[in-house]
Amino acid sequence: MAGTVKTTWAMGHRRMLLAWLLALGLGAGLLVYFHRSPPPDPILIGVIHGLTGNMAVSELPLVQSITLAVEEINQQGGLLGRPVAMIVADSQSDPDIAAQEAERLILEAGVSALFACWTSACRKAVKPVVERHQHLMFYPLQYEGLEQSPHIIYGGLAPNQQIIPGTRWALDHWGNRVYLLGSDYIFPRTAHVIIKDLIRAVDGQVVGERYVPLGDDQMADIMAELAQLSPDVIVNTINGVSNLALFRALHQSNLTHLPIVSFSVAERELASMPDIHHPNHFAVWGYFQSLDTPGNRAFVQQFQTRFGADETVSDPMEAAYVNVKLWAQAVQTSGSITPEQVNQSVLLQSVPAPSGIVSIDGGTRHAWRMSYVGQARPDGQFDIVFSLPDPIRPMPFPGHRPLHVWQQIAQRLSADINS
Amino acid sequence: MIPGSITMRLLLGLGLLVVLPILLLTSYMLHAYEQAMEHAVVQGMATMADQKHREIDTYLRERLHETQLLSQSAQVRGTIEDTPQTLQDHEVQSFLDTFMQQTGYYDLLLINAQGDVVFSILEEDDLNTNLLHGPYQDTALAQGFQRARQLLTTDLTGFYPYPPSADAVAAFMVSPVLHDGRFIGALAVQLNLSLLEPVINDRTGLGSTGEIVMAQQAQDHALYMVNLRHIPEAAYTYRRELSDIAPPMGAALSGQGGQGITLDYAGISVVAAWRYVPALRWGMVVKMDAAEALAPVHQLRRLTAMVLGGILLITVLLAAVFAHSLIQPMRRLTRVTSEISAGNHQQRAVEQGPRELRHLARAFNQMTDQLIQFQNALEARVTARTLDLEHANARLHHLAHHDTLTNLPNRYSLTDRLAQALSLSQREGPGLAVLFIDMDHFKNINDTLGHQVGDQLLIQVAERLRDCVRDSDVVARLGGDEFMVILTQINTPDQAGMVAHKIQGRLSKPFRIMDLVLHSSPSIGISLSPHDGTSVEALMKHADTAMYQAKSEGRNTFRFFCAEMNTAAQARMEIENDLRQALEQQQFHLVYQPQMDRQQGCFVSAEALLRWEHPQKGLIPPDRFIPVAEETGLILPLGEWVLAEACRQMRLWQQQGQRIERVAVNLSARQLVSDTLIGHVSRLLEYHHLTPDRLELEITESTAMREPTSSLRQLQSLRDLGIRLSIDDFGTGHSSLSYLKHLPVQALKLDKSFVRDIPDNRNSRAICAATITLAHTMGIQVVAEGVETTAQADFLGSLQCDLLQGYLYGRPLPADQWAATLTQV
Repeated sequence: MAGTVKTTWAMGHRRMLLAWLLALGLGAGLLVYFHRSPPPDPILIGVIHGLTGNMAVSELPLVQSITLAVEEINQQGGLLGRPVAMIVADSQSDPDIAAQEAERLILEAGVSALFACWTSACRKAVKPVVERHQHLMFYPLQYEGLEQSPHIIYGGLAPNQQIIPGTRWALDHWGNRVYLLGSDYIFPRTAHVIIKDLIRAVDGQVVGERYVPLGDDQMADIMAELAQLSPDVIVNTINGVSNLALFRALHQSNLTHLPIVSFSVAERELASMPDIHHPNHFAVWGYFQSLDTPGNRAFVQQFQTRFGADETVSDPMEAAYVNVKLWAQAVQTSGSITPEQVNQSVLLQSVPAPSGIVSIDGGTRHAWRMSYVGQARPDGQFDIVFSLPDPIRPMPFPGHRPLHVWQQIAQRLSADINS
Repeated sequence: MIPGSITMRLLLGLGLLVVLPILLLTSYMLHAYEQAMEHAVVQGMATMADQKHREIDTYLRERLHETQLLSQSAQVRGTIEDTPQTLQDHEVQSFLDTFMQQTGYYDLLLINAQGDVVFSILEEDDLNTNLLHGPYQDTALAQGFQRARQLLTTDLTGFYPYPPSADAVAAFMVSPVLHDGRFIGALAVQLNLSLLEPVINDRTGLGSTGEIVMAQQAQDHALYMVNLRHIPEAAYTYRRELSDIAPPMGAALSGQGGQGITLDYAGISVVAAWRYVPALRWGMVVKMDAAEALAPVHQLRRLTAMVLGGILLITVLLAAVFAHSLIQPMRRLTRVTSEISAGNHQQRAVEQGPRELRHLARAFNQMTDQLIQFQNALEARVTARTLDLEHANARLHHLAHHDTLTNLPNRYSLTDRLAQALSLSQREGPGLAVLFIDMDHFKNINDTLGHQVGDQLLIQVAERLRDCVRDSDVVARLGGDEFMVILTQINTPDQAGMVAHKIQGRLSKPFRIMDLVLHSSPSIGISLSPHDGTSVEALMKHADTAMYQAKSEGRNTFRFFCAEMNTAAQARMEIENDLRQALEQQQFHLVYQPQMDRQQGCFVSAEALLRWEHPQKGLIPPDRFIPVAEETGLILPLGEWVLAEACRQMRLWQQQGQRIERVAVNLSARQLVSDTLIGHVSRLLEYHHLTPDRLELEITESTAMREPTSSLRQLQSLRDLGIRLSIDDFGTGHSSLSYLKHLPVQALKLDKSFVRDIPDNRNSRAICAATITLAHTMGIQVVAEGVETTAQADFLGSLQCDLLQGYLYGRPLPADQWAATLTQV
């Protein structure tokens, strides 16, 4: 009898325990069900570059860099628990199309930020769009300066980080008689203003100044002039394929002894002319592939692993890559993906970059960057021959002239070009 | 609290039902709150770091801007180009003074395009030195000048000890001075590290443990630029290897920004945000001890714990109260139950409390009533049964201890009482006596008159025995006709003897039973304690031995036990054992004594005599072993052997052609009454091809008299076979000649005790003469035994004695020596 009672009790107890466990499980399940995070939508970024057209050769590698950066971010778990996805738009190397795509990406795709443009023309076309939408664009190229949009982050070199130290180096190293050679568009025009300021500051002499149309390969007149003038140094701001014509012409004209300092020839361009080696050819950049730091070695290796062992990396590519990292860190820090928030946050960011520490200067929206002078090697790489010890504070409006003067100059130059 | 108790179960159940869900819910909410709180705190720290970062940036940018503006002033330009004149200018003086006061700079210097320090407010040692070639070409000032010259940019150098200012740690803001676009020199202002302190050390919103840590990288070390909370004089003195640095500062110096809960340089858990400050190229960590920053979390945790504890306490109290209200009626019921089981049958459970328990109490009370009724009935029955049992028990006890026939104590009871008496006598002095009484010839009475008569006799014996002793003495029946009497308080053997004598007298008197008058007598053995032994066994055994002695010494007497009796008994035992062995090993042989026919003058027969040649003890006389064989029954196989051997020898003699007519063999009493005797004898004769007249069987008078009826029948059967029978040792027994005439015998053997005394003794002569004459008148031959002299032979011859036997004619001889003897004569 006692046994039966005990058994009944034990069974009742067990049944109650089971019910409790069930209830607990149900509760926990409900909790998880209502608490589970929605499947994370990716954070979208817009990438606008010339995938076709005459800029495609230069701009496609930038898309690669951005891709690498995005992939790295996603590998580390994305941002704010969400993956990052890029929407790549083809500007067809046309600034107007770039502007249209920017509008589309901002309005239709709702991207968090834009990574766009190579040329200043492109930037100047997209700039009003991002400003109108109070959006945020990252620009990866070194450029002529004289601009500071509150909605653009300038990740490339400002003039005081490339043109000024490069010119100073040329003057200090090769002499005061300078021949200026550039493509006929905004960057060389503006650069030459600054360069001439520097030459004047040391009582130097501009022995000649020439502009060749973009894509032009007629160098005969210039060769004749150079042979006649024999400047101490040529400062070269020619952009694009004309550089190939220039160096071929120098080669053919036996002017390879002339030192030449280029502001728009990087590893990619050098690699496009492997049979023409100009021994006194120097380039000024904030980054070279040959930079011998652990950070850079890792970056180059990752890039080559991802896109091919014979791929080269250059300053604009590194800047495009670092731009994504800066944006990502701004998102992380602000905990937001809205352009307004990120635009505020990004002004305080620094990242360890392949080129060294890259920080955004909140005052100018440009990056603190190193400045290196590299001597071209026959294999398409550069040997770094000079660098300033620390990153240079960016000054889009170089300090030796007041701001309003620069603004007047900029207006005048753009008017000249448009006419 | 006992595991398994209702209170315990209630507590567990309530705990499970109430506390567990609350606990789960609370811990989940607390966890969520902690997460949110932590996130908020960390995010707050990040905001603070960004704010600090921005503050420093703004401060420096403004200072740079001021410096740049100053460098563009005509006064500065003028001073560099034409120092002496300008210096006299009071306007310039007051302008500079104001500037310095407002900014808090340490010094202001002007350097010309060639690197000469042409002006200095403090006029320290650096004045009038050249920064490109002079003694201070490695200073921050010189580097700043170079940079301004190269980049035409205003910027701040790093902080380093500056030798001209007594190695005060300082940085320089250097701005190029242009005149008409030409570089004519630079303006430098000297900032001591202390100038930055108010900017950096503003810890608004950082609580009591908050801190802003700044460090710059110096080769592979981090050099701390501010004094630290845990290291007071750290500014520009405390350095740590980068590999060993606190994680947030390490990250900041590598250019990484971030925030989280981590460890600071002192190893304390902190909420921190870390940033790289490019304007200074410093790492910055804004932090607060986690203990303080997360204090609300901890407080909430404590509060939650207290609330939970309170709930738990209330639950426990409620459960206890609840349990108490349930358990109290149960306890009462338990108490009542134990009181009832302790015998307080008037107790009843109070029918109170919850409904179920009231029912239980009522049911319990009903059950108790029924139980008590039942118990009372049971008790009555048990009492009755117990009484019955006691009666039965007493009866059983009596039966077990008493002989049913005589109502005397039985053997079992006797040994008990003897043991008691012995221990009493050993303690209190006087000895005691044990009398072993056996009624003579009781078996005969039983056999001839039946058991009823025997039983009546025993009853009367018992009565007489009781009359003979005191009440303190014990009379017991051991079984059969054996009685035992324990006499207590015996001081001398005589006292026992007197009682024995009295008993003997009383039991020798005739018994009157069912119109019969029977005669019997006792044989009594007496053993005395402590003289003959102190144990029950020894006393009983010794009394028994003494009784046998009395019996063997003619019955109707009593004997005291003596040690010799014991020896004799042992010897007897020995002989018995030897006998058994002898039978197996054929240690016996027969010798033959010739019997002379007086008329024929030759030997006509021989008496076979048994001889026992013991291998160690030598020849053992028959009177020593025959009685033993008789008593033990060994006489039967022995007798058979003797008969067979004698017949074999007779046949042998016959075959040898010896002139011998018959062989005589002694027959014992047991043999005589044996059922197998007749068959055995006839088979032997047949086997050895002997005619019955070749065998003569001798019996003694007492043998024939022992069981007269069956003996007579057996003898008649033997006689019918044709076997010659003779009476041995005639004249020694009590039998009378008148009895002889009933026996079918052909001869009697005159005992040698008579022959020995003739012819000199007149009585003997008379007996011999009378016996022979009488025998002859009855047609019975007479054999004289023990004839040793010719005088005896002559006398017997004169009486016409038929056969003569004795040494005169031949000693008993083995058969193989017989031929010679026979031939001799």
